[in-house]
Amino acid sequence: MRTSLTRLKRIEDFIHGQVPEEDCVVFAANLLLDKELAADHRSQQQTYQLIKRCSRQQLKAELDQLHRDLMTKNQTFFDRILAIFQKH
Amino acid sequence: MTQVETQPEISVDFSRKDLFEGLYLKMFPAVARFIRRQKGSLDDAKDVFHDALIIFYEKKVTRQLEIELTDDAYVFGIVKHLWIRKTKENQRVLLSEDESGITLPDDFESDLRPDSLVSFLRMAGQKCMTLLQAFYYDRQSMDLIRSVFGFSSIRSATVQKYKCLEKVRDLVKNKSMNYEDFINQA
Repeated sequence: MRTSLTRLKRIEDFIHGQVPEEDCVVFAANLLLDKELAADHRSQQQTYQLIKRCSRQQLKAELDQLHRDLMTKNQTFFDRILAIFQKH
Repeated sequence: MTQVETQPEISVDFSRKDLFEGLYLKMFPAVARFIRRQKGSLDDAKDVFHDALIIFYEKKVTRQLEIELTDDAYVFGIVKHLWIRKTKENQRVLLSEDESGITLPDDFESDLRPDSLVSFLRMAGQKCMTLLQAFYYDRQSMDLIRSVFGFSSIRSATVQKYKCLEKVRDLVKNKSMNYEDFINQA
């Protein structure tokens, strides 16, 4: 892997707690000393959050579609659900 | 042959569609009855159920289900927690001892409508985003990803994953984007 990807992997391993404790201490110290590393670390954390948020949005859209499909194509299911909300 | 192997396009839904459809047919009527008893609407039932399925899915793929319950009981427990949160500490919902052990993720927001975030991330390319989501969100193995995306080896799939991650990270960096500001814009 080229250097920048190796660096990316090192940051990832640190964020995900996949480095030995002694290396972790060294990395944490480097974060304090190396501004560029700190900036990369921060944007990489943001990237994981963005991927998660994007994935959740996509999953929500899939579930909305599944709901629409079941309510329009499965008459038994539709009747069953509707009956619950028509009860008084 | 697995479902994934029969899908040549980059559509990495793996088997989650089957999981959700099964849970939907089995559980949604019970969830709807519960929400109805709580004076909620059909839309409330749908929204809470979808959020519960998302939380359950994340816990399942990351193996972070806190207690041993059936999938149905676990999802129902999450539904109750979400309803309590939505209705501001509703006292009418009783949690069993097992259900009390379930926690909701700190970073979970109910409003998951697609926003500008999606189009922003798509700038990195659909294939890249699908690959990143498959690995980081769906927690699929690199071997399965190699097979679905047609990489020659796990190593080349891994290198591509890091290239994609770098691409998205650089987009974030180049926009000098503060994550919270970005989310607030959405």
